[in-house]
Amino acid sequence: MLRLTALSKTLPALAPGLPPRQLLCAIDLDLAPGEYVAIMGPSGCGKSTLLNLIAGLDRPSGGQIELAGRNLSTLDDDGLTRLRAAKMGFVFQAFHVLPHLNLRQNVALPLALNRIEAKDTRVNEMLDAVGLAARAGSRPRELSGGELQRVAIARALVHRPALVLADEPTGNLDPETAERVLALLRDSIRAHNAIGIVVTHSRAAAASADRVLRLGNDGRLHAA
Amino acid sequence: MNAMRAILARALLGHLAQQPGRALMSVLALALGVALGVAVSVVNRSALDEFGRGLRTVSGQADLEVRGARVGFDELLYPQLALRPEVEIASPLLEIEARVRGAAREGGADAIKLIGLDPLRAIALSPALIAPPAAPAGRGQETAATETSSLPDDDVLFLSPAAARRFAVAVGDEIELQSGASSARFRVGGLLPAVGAGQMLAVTDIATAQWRFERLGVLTRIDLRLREGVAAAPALNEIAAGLPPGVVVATPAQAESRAARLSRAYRVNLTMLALIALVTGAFLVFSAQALNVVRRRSELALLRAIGVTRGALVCWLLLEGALIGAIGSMLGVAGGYALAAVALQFIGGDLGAGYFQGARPPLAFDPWGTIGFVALGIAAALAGSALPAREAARSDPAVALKSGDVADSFARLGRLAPGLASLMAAALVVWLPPLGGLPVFGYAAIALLLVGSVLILPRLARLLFARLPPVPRVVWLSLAIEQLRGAPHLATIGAAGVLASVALAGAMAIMVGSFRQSVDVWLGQVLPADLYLRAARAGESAHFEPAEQAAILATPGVMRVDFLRHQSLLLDPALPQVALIARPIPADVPERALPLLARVTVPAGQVGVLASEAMQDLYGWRLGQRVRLPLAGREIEVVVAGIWRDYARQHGAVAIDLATYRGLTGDMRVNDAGLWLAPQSSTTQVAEALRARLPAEAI
Repeated sequence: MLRLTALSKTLPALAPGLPPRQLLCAIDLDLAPGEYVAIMGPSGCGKSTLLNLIAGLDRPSGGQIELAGRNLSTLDDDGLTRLRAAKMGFVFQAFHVLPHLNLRQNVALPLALNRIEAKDTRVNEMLDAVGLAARAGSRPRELSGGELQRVAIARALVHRPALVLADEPTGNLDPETAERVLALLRDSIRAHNAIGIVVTHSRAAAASADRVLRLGNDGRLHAA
Repeated sequence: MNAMRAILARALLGHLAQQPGRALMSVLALALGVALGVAVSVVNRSALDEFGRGLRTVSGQADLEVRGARVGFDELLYPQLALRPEVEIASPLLEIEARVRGAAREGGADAIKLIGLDPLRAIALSPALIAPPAAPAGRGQETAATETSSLPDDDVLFLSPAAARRFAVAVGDEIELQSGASSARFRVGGLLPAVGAGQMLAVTDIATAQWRFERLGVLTRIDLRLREGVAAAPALNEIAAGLPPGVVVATPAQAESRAARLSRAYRVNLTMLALIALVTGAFLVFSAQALNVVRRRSELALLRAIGVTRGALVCWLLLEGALIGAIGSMLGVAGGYALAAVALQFIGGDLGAGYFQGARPPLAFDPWGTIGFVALGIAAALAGSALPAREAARSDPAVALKSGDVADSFARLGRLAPGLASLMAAALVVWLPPLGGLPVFGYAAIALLLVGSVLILPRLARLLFARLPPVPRVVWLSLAIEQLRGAPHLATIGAAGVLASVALAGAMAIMVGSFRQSVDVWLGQVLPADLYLRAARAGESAHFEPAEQAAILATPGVMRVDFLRHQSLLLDPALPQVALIARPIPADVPERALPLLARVTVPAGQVGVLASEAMQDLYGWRLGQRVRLPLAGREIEVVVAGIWRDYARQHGAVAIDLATYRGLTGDMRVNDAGLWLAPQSSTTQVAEALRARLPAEAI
């Protein structure tokens, strides 16, 4: 269960004399396992900031975030890092697949960080699920953008996280590849009964979600 | 679990294997520093081990050794000491620095120490110096040799195996030794197998040595074994109280410590060169690691995002630095031992400085020196990695996962305060006194100066680049300048290693250049004559007698001669000997003779001497102070009339007017002569004339 309560984020003033900027304002949101939502909004409205707050990569100015019963504001940096390792998976626009590891090793990274044994089975399952089992030993430089994003999805889900956060996962992909990747992401999230949040500009991407939310320039979250 | 760790290790360290060239420069710089340091340490350890073995060979079972300057002391001291109630055995020795005639002279390859001893006494204290009874075959050989030798039976010496090998002589062969103007032929009566492998020693009967080398009535040392139950420390004090001036008593351990001090400054300077290479290596590691952190910013941010804690990231990046340091150190250790082996083989245990002349010690393993330099290599790499690791851990992963913020990396390097603080600390630290006689804070000041210079570089770069005009027509140049304007701290990262290495190389070049210039000026002052003549090398026993001095004076083409007498004085048993230089010194203008830094007028009726700067530092002598010098077997009070700069003798030198010296000691011999030539005389002609007038081996 992910619960955001009166979440707000104020950015410091860009220059002396200017007021601080209220980026996110009183956001309330409850998401249950298996739910997959898309968050849309204009550039600079704070979508990625919201995602970072949920991931514990940034601290809110007010309100609180609870994930699986843990209040993120009570955790220190190491606590947040360990929570991310155990409960979260990430998919980024720029893939961020480590170039000197092969696909199998990239996918196994979260298992290594969580000291989960039986990694071969899980890694093989995930690579099979994303259609890359035959290329498990390949290096990232040998893969296309779509294939890299499939590796990232496998890596995000291999440790069966409670929450998967995807920031513009199709931003670097052509429409056809994007469609396949989104379908894979949605199906994988459902298959693992995880909560999925995808931040996107793409209507096609948003259409794959169960629910679409729009973050307005007022910093509030609205149903689309 | 191991497989999991392997994946994590590969995630963080895999880039090293992918692009080894980036780390290679750091590894090589560290390897160079470690190799130089290990080589210096190992060579020194080998030399000191050999020196210690030599000391123990000569006075292996002695409790105390009574020693004078190399010129020696009256042998009447021997019965006085032998009859003391606390002394069980006293063994008189005469040590003569000699050379083997006909051997190659380069690098002291002909040098040998001749020890004259009393076998009946020495067998108890220095059994290694007594030849074992010859085997029947050897005896037959010896007998045969004796039958063919024209030498009297007394003229027998025994050689260390190393000396026999070096001079290619066998039992029964003849060998000629020379010391000063004296030379003597000996028959090799046997070898001394118990003498260490690297030692060039010859042993003969003490009376033979005194007689053949004109040292009758002279000893250089007496080894003492104390009676059972007699404590060494009080006995040492009691014996010391009764010794004549210039003769000291010490324990064998003090003698070894004196040997270590002999080469200490030279060794420390060479070690500092090695540390300079290590510091350069540390800066190269910093540059490589910092650029690596910038380049891998998004990778490291991903790892932070998916669960690597700040602390773990710092540990991994430091581990990466330590790995570079360990590889560099291992290469350095291998290179250092190889370098030491070559240096010992071709240069000698003193690395050519002349402290342990003639010694070719075997390579010794120096565990602590090796461990120390490996630790320093790893520490240098860790120091170079620390800031980049901290920067990587501090950076915000959310920001770093988005592109475009690289220019903000290491932005804190742009702050002026740390650089200024480092420079100010350097200015303060440089005034601190030496630690244990070593200028530790001086070296620390250099390090701080370097760090400070690197840290203020971004601000200087900002000032410099802000004043550069735009270069619109050359796109790449314009882009480069704008990049430097926008992120001068990144320029610092790139420049740190280069700056450190160039600054240190430049500093070394300036230091060596200015030192050479200073020495040139100094040599012009201390050696102003046209031509110099020196009695044959081999210690102070080489000299010119008055008849030879007269011959030099009467040589055609010689207008004026300044004679010099060199002696050594043992003022402190724990310190190396001090040089006494007797030369003409005008009483009213002593600065004409030596490069004086300060002087005072000597009161009428007092004897003035000029002390080198080292005498101030080592013995605390001050201008105008009255001190006592052991001269000609008695203590003479003299006044420190001046302080002079001496680049040649780091263990101290005292200069006295030659006529005054002769008046005080009656010693009319000299070792060197400075010759001023008459107009139209050539140095070649005069040198030829001198060779014709003097024994060829004596100059």
